[in-house]
Amino acid sequence: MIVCATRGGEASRAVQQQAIAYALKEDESLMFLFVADETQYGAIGGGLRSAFKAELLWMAETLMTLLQKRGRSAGIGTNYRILEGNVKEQIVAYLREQRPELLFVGAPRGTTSDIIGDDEIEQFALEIEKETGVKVIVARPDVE
Amino acid sequence: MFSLIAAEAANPLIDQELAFIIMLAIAALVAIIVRYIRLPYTVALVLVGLALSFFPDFLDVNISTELILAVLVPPLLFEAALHLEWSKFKKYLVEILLIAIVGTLIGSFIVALSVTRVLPNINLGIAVAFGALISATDPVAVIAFFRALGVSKRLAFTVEGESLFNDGVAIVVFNIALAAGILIEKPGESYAFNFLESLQEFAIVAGGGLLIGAILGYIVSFFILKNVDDHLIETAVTLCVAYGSFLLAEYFGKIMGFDDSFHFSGILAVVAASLFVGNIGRINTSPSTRVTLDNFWEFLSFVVNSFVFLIIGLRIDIRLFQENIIPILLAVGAILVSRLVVVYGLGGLYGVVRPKHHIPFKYQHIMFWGGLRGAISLALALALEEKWLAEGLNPDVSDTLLVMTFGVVLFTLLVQGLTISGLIRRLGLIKTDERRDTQYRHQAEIYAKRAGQEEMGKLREQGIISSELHAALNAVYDKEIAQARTHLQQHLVAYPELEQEMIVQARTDALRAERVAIADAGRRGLISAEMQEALLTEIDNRGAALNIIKASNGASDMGGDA
Repeated sequence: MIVCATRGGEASRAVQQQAIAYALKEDESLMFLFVADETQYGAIGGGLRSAFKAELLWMAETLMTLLQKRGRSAGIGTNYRILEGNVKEQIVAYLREQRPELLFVGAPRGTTSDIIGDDEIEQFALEIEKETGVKVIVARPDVE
Repeated sequence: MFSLIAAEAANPLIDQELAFIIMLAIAALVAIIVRYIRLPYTVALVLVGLALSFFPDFLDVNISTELILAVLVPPLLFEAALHLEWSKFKKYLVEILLIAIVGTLIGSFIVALSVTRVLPNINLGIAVAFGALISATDPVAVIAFFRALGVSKRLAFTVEGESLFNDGVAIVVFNIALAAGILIEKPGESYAFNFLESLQEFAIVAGGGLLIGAILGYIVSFFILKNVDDHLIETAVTLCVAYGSFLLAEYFGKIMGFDDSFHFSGILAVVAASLFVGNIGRINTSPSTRVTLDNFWEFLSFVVNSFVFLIIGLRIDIRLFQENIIPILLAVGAILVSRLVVVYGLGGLYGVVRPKHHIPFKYQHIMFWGGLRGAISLALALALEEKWLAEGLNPDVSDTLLVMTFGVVLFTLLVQGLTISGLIRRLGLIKTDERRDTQYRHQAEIYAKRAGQEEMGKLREQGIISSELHAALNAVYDKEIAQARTHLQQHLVAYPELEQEMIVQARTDALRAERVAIADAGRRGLISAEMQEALLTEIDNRGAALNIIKASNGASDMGGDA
């Protein structure tokens, strides 16, 4: 199984396409992984918290359904999982549990690239490799 | 035929109701028409009002000062201040207060001095009263342009903030100066101007108004809006605060049971109360209440604004213009000069004192030309006439000042109001968002080409074009659509937050549709009222959650990559 950690959207199309191409080539199934971390949005008032979480998951569901459709159109077995919590912790826990062959993560693009820099995503990948033993590929648009 | 205050009518209540409905219908009709013509809504209303004023039997609206000041103005100010975010507003508070307070005082005296030089029968007191009433800005049309065209927040805050505060200041100065003007004019009475006394009175009336508004706003925000979770009760309470703060301040002496004439500024009380309710009370309410509150105040503001501008048109008697053209031109010249001195003079001074916060010259041009006059000026001119005549003084003075007010209001609304958008554009103050424009262009391309493709399909079905030609056209369209889609995708890769916005917008529309469906199910009795309420609250909460996602610009989550 190949895992592709993504947040969906056009900005992560490169990682999606590379993961789909790899899964197709290796005849592997592909799992899209979305981690919803509500803490990234700051403190949410008590009354709104459950609605906020529900809405975040609803959006994740929409984006992952879109990716699943793309993968299936490409002719591979595709599924998705939506996890909640800290991005790194959740990815590490999932990889330890599922022991996939490979993890694809994308390098941030466009106006989001200042949120996680290129060095940070490399560091992120190295740490995950170290903690889980699963090989991590950082997908960049120029490698497509 | 229909009178808003029709004491002579057999059934005055029905007559008032009829007048209300007719005015509302006219306003709605004008609002529909201005969608198709390039005319600001408020200006169109004034023009319709002017046209209707030639048919006094059709809509005989008897407008009093109280109707404008105590009934129509409080909700307008309340609604305007309700959405002013204090955290941002306070950044510009010094410049706003400088122009609203010092500017109104300086402006009043400049106009007064100009008037007394040319019209010798007008004493300085009454001239200052006129200067004050004509200095109150009413930039509804300008603010509407700001919203439609998209200008900087600072410019919008400064223009709107100035108008909120200068109304109150103008009324306080007006009352002090009018009392002095009447004393000067009355035979046997003497008046000696005491600057410190006047300043003290000004501070008490203005400060008292702000204090009363702040106390009421605080009480309602903390004790009711924060603790009572019922959108209808909470909305009703805000209406009580809007009118209650005005009445309590204006009739403080009477309500408290001592000197009837003792009062504070009702207008400033409304502004202060609204700032509290908007910045403390409103944010502590549930999303359902916020939706109801915003919708209610938006509607009320639309209705009242419509009435105000229609009334301005109805009340202005342009038949008097010809014989009073000199005083009118003088008044127009005086207000332009005073505005010039106030905006550029105080703007320049502010820049010297706080160079880092200098108001850009382009903004000053808009502040100068955007200083439209409206309802407050009209109401105060009517009050001036009323009080002047009640003292048995020379009616020529009040008549002249009234017609000068008509002239200034009409000039600013028609000339400045119709040219301000051009000036905003010419000065390059419209904030263009190239990212969004590019997105819209690609989306529109896809949308248009799909429509063309569908039309080709219909033509083929009807046998107008051959299948072969259709296939060729279709292929070209497919290619163009694919190209546009690729461009859109590339654009969204560069600006992931735009895709986030698209998703949020689509979701917002979907939630709105869900809301309508649930309300419909409730109306049809398919679900209980409790169930309807619970489901609507849930949807409103989801909507509020979406707003948080939207406000965070989404870049941190859904747009980018892990």
